[in-house]
Amino acid sequence: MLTAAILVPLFGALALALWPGWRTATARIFGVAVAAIPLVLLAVAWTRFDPAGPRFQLVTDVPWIPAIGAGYRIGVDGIALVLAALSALLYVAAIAYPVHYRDKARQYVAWMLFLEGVSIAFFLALDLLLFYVCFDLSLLGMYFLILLWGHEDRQRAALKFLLYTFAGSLVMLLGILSLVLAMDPLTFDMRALIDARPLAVDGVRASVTFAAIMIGLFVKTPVVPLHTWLPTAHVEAPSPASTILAGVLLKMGTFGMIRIAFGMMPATFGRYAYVVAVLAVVGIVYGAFVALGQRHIKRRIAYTSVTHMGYTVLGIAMAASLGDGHDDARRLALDGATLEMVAHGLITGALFLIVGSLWRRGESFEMDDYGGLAKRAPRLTAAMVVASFASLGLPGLAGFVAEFQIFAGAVAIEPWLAGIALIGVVVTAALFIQLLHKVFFGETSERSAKMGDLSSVETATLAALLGLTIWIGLAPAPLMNVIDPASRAFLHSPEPGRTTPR
Amino acid sequence: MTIFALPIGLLLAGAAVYALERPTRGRSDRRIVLGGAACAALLAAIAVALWAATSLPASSFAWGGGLALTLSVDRLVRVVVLLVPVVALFVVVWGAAHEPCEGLAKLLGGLVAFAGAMELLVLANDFLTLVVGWELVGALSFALIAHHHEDDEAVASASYAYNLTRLGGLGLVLAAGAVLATTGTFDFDALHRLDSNTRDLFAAGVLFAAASKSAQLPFSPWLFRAMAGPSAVSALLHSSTMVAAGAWLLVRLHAPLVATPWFQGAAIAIGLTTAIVAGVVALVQSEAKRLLAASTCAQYGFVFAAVGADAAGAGLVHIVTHAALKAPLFLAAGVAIGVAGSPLLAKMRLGRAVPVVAATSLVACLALAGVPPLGAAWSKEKILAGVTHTSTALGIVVVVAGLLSAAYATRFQLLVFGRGEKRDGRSSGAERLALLALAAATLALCSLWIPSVHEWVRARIGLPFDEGAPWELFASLASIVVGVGAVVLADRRGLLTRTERTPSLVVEWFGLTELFDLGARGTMKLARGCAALDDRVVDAGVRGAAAFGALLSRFASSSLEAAAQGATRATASAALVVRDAAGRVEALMDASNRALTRGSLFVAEESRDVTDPLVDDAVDGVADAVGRAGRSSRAIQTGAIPTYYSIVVGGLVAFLVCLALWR
Repeated sequence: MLTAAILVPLFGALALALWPGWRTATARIFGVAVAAIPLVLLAVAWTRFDPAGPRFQLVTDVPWIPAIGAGYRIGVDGIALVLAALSALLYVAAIAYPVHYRDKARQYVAWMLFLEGVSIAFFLALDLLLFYVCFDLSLLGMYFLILLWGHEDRQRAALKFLLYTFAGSLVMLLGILSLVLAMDPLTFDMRALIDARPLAVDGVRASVTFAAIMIGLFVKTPVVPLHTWLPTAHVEAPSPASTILAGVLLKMGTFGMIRIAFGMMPATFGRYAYVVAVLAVVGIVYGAFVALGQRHIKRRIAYTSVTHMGYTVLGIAMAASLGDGHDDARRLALDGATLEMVAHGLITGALFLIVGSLWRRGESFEMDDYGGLAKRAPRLTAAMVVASFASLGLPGLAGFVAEFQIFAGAVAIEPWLAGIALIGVVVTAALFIQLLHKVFFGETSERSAKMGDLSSVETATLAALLGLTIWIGLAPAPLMNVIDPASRAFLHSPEPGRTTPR
Repeated sequence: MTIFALPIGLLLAGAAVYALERPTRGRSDRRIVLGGAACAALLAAIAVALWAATSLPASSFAWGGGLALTLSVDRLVRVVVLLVPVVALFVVVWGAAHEPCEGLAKLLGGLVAFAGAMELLVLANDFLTLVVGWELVGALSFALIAHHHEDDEAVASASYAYNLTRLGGLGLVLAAGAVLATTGTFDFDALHRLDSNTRDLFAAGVLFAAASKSAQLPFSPWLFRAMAGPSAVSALLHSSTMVAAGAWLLVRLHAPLVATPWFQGAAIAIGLTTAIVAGVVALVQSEAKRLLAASTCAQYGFVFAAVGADAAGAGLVHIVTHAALKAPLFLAAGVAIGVAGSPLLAKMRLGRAVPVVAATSLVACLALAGVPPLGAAWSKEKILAGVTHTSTALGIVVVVAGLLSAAYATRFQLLVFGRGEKRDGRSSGAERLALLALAAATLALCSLWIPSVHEWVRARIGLPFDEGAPWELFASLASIVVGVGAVVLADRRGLLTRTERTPSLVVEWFGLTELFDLGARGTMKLARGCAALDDRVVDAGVRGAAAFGALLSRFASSSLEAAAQGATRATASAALVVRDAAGRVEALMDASNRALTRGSLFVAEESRDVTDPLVDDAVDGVADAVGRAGRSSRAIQTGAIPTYYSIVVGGLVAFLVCLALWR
């Protein structure tokens, strides 16, 4: 079933790629229908998933290259399940959302479906080689989406994105190989790696391996100062691609931190957790200030991603820290980090779609060009208000639950670091309030006066994303009940024989 | 029934009232529909609150992962849980009659929802729920203050208020983390388990948050900006909700707070400094609502001092008496601003224009001045007694602050509702009804002076009241006489409205407003600086690395060729060993190699088109190098194993050799 969730969009992409006779509307409807199938399949998987059951469930294991112990291995724990489902949902939304196709709707939908299959495979992968291949293929898909359907400066942005993140992923590959080669017998099976924790021994090699993996993931997440590909890519990408970039691809970095760095090298992560946390806090505060300094709406939102992914990294680092006696706080931080990924995916995904709607009507990304839109476009305004307040962490919306968990956990473990990071929260609030003020309230600008409200497709798509944001914000229990056991597994997994005494 | 029905019901009812928004064209029946709906919701809430106040229910709602929202009504909570909807009811009645029809649904819906958020805050029995209520109150206050959203000034003021109170709200997150660290939960019931380390962070976080919400120093300036909202909003926000939230939180958590050694001194210092400074500020304001706003700061300063002096009971009663007097004062000010057509005190003196409103205002002003036998006078005496127990010198400061209260209350009444020329004044029946009801409540609170009544209150809330020495009451009375007398004398000489001669530094919170503006400007400047830094410096490192890489690859491309040939041979022999695997991989790799070779050529060509010289020298360099490597590697293509793959594998072999040596 999980395999079908991966293959259906890939075959859909193939069908679009091979047969040229698609009209724009048919391609889009076909795309939405195909993209929705994995969502349904993952929903069914969710009902079959037993939170109290074994750590990895619904596992498929087929040998692929036995000589090096690589296989087609997929399966889910609570965290992977939630993220895969989020990805499927965001792809449906992104494909449904109108965009300027440049007469290449078929290719556009095909690339989107390709990315969907690859992304879902990434989150479901229980094999490090498969994991890495999907990680890289996702870069390629996004590269073409930016290159072919982006804004004016798309070529440069796409190239920078590709070279930068590809360099990051190569560094990660070296780390992964170093980790895998420490296994005896050689295997890329994640479950075996998690159980054996081959490089748990303290030492230079463990540290270097950890650093290589983390640097690769830092680029992807991104963590300051390895983030400068992000704003250009976001600004130039077509808005639904920005939604995917922010909502799905960035999560690959933090998911990797949980799955590989924390799952397979917890002792090493514990040693360097404070360093990672400091980087996260720097990113949170710095990202928020840089975002506040932007007048370009899309750049501003792109930089808030740096801040929000900083929250996630902070949560993971706190969970990985070896603070004894803080088990509740560590678990809370990891729950929060996972939920933040979901919340950020939904919220920032919606924000980028809204910005795309702004562009389609006003052809500008400059805040100062707009003003007083609330009168002209009440639905657009309502969506933006909900999304903005969700992003700045208003209770009743998904972002709050996650941020509260991360920060309460972090304060309990490292009060000073968390206190500094809270500055980022205040600045984030200020920058969204200012954005709302400039674009939607106040006097109506000339440009705003000519703009219409959201279409029904746009309204329905945003309503779905934001409705889910509200639902998670009010009653996160269904989600938490799946995530929390997975978090507990990280904190309470039995120590393998080779770990060093603390 | 679960107690969750109270806050949730009000929030939903607020949304429902908002949904009744229709184009009005000045029809008055919309007022009745909207006002009726809002009042019905609040009456139902009062009924629920009455039930809650008698049966003291508790309830919780699981959020998963060990988190839960918990509400409970205890002996303190039940007082405020009833106070909020009662005050809101009269404010809504007044607002439905007074405020313009345009946007009335939004306004009344907002007020009802606001009462719901405040109830959540009041009922909270753990830090998670508290933060939820706290932030919802803040966000709704933004919506209410920015009610006229096309007015840039109003939105800017709302943003200002929101940002400053949100900053304070983070104190609660710190407190929550501190509690979690020791107790493993967020429950208020577990607060007695705090150890000495975490108790400091807990108390500091709570005090910080409370001071910001209650507009204590140094946060006071936001309250002036909050005056940009309609008068009904000011009346609700500054009597029983929002601004009351900080003072209420201190009362709610007084036991664990007072157990922190430095807390008492800090709370008294903040409270009394605010009471004095805000008292002076109130005396020199030129606008009616600003005078009242400053007086609100001062009165909550008394509550802070009360909690600091371990007289939380007196503080709680003062919250109630203050709510009952401040709501009618703001509503009366709203009527006065409407009649005078100006917010300026100098343009009012409407005693003969709206006599009933003036009379209700007089009752409330007497209470604000602390004149016995009004209820606010009693609660202030009890606070004085509590503070004097701590230190006589501080008691004298309270007396001085009381003098200032008497002075600004007199100033308000004289300037707004003094005898002036006869003017056309109109106030509708509903407006007068709301005012009279609130004034009646203020009068009813006179009964607090009756021993059996305050004994009953003491027994209900379960907190003692300090007995004051006789000199305290005498000193208070004397200070009131002095305060009232001085202002009346000044009025005779026409000094009350000459605020233009006061240095603006004093009017604007002794420079605090300027300081905050400076901070805001500095923040923006810092943000722009960071943005520039990010573009020019952080990214420059990346561009530099790209340029360096290009240089390196040009230099190394010849040696790379040789290495690639060697690697190809090595890979070919490796391929023999794992022929099965390689066979399968080969087809895949062949395709990917073609794609990649084509891709890199394409990349190289595309990037040449790009115009920006600064970046693209670098990017071009890399792309060129990739392209050249692609072309040169095609020269050494063997046909068996694709070139690109072989180069990668060559690199891997080198890496593996390193690893093997390392072991």
